[in-house]
Amino acid sequence: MTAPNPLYSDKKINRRAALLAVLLFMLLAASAACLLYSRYKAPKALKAHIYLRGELLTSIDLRTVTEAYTFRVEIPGGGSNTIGVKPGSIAVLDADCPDRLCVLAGYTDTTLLPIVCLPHGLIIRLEADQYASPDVISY
Amino acid sequence: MFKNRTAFPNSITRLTVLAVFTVIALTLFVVESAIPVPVPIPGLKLGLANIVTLIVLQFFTLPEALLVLTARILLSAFFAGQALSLLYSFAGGLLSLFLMALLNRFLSGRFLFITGIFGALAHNVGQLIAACLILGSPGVFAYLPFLMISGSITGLFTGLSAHYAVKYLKPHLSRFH
Repeated sequence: MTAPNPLYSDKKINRRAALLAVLLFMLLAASAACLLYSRYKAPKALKAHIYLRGELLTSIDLRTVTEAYTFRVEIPGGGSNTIGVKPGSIAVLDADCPDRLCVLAGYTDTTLLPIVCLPHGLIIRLEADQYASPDVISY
Repeated sequence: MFKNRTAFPNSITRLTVLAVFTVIALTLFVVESAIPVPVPIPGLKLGLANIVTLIVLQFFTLPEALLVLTARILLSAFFAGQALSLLYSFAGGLLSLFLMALLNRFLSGRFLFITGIFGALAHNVGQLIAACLILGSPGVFAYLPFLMISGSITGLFTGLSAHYAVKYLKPHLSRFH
């Protein structure tokens, strides 16, 4: 075990590694900037679109919801997601997928991130309606 | 790339060692899936099985690493049991493998942790592309900045693990290369 430390040899490789490190740093800086920007910019969600493997199942206008309710989405080939809707927000309350990350996300009321259940191929896309009527804009 | 395949040692030894690596990768995968993820970000994971991919890339050829990766993903479907997860794994695994093979050559096998970080990032990007196609919504890319940052950390960890593993395996496995 007297081989030279592979971390410190050959100038050319070092230069290449430095190049990659700079690339990585830029990527990370861009990601961090994206996160900070979107955190302040994300508007309130007004509509929720529930897609199952690319097909739109249903759209819910979160403004018109007056009372909380739940419903189940059956996944073809087994499994289900229980969706909960409250005035202004939506969540996956229960799921029998392995990771249950969609449940962990909880009630969501911004368009910052969609609620995703990867194993079931379910996504709840939240949208701030840009064609909203004037009274909604004031709201 | 194929030039050393049957030279030395013989193909049965190679096959056996590759099978052992597949089992190690599979074990790491199962162990990892038992660890709960504390944040609701789909695709975020440690990627421990990637350590094995990195090691195999160091001592074997790309086709052989591809073999180990494919076997691991197919076999892991028996443990995870989700058809869609298989697609995400393949998309992420293949993109990650090819980028890592490229970078490993670019860095002539050194700075394995950098290769590991980019491999983790490529895995996340591949998975997001698959998710985008399957879910039919580009909205999943909203998770990309999160995954870039988490992937750099987990990739650094798996890359360093592979770096030290390679260091200690070198006297035993360098004859395969």
